[in-house]
Amino acid sequence: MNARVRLSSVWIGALALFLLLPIGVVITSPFHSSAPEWNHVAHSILPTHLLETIELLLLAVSMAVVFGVSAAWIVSSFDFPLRGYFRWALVLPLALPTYISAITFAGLIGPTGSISEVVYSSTGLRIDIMSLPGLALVLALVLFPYVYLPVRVAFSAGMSPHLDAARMLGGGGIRRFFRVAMPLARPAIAGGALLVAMETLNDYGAVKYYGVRTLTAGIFRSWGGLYDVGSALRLSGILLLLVVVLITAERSVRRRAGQEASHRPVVRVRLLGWRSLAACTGCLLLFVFAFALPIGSLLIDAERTIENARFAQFLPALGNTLFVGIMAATVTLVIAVLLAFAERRSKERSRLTRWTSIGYVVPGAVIAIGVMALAGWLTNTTGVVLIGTIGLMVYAFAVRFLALASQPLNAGLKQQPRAMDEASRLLGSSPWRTFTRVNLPLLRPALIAAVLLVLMEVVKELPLTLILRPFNFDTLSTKVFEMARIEEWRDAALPALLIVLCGLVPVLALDRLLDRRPR
Amino acid sequence: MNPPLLSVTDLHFAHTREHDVLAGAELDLDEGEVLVVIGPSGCGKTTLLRCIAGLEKPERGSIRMDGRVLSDDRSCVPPEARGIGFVFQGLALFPHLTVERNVAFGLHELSRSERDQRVRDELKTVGLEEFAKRYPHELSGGQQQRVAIARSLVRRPRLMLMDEPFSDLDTKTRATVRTEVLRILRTHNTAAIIVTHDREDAVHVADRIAEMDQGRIVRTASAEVFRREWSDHPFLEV
Repeated sequence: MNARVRLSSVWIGALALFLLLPIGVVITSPFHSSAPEWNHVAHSILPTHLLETIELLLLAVSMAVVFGVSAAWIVSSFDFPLRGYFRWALVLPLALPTYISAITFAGLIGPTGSISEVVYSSTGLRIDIMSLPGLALVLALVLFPYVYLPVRVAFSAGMSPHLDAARMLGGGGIRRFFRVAMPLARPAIAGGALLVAMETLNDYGAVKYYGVRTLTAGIFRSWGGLYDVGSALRLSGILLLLVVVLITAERSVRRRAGQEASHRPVVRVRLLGWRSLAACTGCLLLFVFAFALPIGSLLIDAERTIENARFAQFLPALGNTLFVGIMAATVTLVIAVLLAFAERRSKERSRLTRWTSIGYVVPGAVIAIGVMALAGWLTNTTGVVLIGTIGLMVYAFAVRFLALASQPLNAGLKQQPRAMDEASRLLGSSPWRTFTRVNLPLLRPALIAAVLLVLMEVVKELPLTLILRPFNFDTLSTKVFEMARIEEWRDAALPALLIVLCGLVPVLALDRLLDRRPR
Repeated sequence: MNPPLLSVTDLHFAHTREHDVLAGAELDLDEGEVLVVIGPSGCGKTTLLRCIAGLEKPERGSIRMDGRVLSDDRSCVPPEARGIGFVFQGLALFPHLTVERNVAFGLHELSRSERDQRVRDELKTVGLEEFAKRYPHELSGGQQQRVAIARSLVRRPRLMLMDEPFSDLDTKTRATVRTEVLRILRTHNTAAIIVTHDREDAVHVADRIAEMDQGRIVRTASAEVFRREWSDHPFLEV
């Protein structure tokens, strides 16, 4: 290894460490930060918040698995009217940030919701979704596509020989599903369930609105209510531990399953009569509750807002959102490009760079508290004040969303033959010139995807933004959330729709990407 | 007698500890000479080229060109500083650049006018001047081959390395391209090492042929000697 290569690997190592710092701060918090309120937090906040987190996780994940797996099975193994439409429409709920969906549902079937009122006046029955199980149902309705998508791919592509064999051996539809399809799709189900769990742990807006006490809510309470960053750090550490447990569980499920992929598509059975009607109705109900109902309600409210010309008050927030989003997307992209360059050069991915993707599975609140503690330490030691600056927010976004930018870049680079780099080197180009003149121009679609994915996520993001935003600085998501909290939700419908629209872009892109895989 | 342009001495290279790809390969190459290396798959032909080009670092042995050490136990000149041309088996043309920009890629240190002139001249030499604005995927296999050669030759290397340069061409194009390549090499008096597993290619372009087996050059002789041998024993395994 020559001196220049060594120097650049030192730089890249330093960059990777810089990105891992906030998570490191959280993990090591008991050793370096005092937590004056920890006694109180550990005895009164931690037990209830941990318990409710686990309850919410179990309920939301199991409901999401039921919705996701049954939808995937119906759509990929049967033919019925509108099947082609449901196939992609059932992905759409993912575009709804959990807090927007939760608040919309509260407006419909909360204690004073419009549907609740109608039900009460006609039947005398009071319905109220604003409870822990209710929230779990809402989360499952929004997040089930995380299970639906990979399981649909598994059902459509991977297992046609096994299903054919089961059919020849006389297995009926239900038997085939429980005895063959489900066990074979276990890795896909586990992967999807993990994503649902991560999103549930990450959520702050919905749990706060429904009054459910999760660990993320506990972090906010320690930080914003008790002003004790040390305790917030310790709670973050416990939340991180939970994430590690979940990832380990998912890995072990994945490891146990061995499935050879077959590229022959599953032959779908045509449903007739009441069966066809049942399949169609099932998909329709899921779609209506998960997507059409909240969107319809938002649209109706948004129409009223336009009439009142209230949208102008959201323009500064829109400007802020775009500014922070573009800054974060640019910085994240630059970091992702530098790491991709280092990786391309070293031919193998160093462990340190691989770890930089971890931010994506760490809840936003955890990263925000880590970044906060880091900035606090910097202020104490050097006098430099970074808390409440946009720079700090952008840094935190880069830590959280780097994987979103790195993933398309690395996938794109993998498709470029090494001989092209070698040809460029032999034509007298340095490694950097090779990267900028050969590799990067060919990565243009991946670069655009990377920027879009990060930008859209930043627009939707809530917990990290709430903790790190400068004083009096609103983004669309914080503004929508604040309006909902002061019961002016209807006025926030239009910006909420805008956020949903942003969410649609990556969701549709993801659906297309999965479709391109060999079937 | 002039010293050889390139001399490779006792070259060793291994991908894994158990298996040596190169096990003491040695060869000399004179100015303007075309040497064809033949041998069974996996005998180390491509690795030998890659070591000479600087794309792989040998474990032991030395490579010298023009009296300058390119690689030995202590130093290893990076590929971009060796001034050697390389034509890859898959050609590795840059798909996002036109023919003329592919050819100009290696001339980035020249002024624009000088660069344009050199590219025009080189495209004329390989007979592709009217294809300058096309992209690689718009050309036939033979034309792409000529672009790859022009791209390397435009830098005026004294040594060209070519890894199976004719393998992707059909029989008819192959003969034409072969003659063409030889003509271009001779025009610039460029020495070349060409790796192939095809006897016909070997006897048509080579001044000398080197037979390689298990990481070593086991025999070197003039193309004429090999041609006679192969016509007497057409089924003899290389």
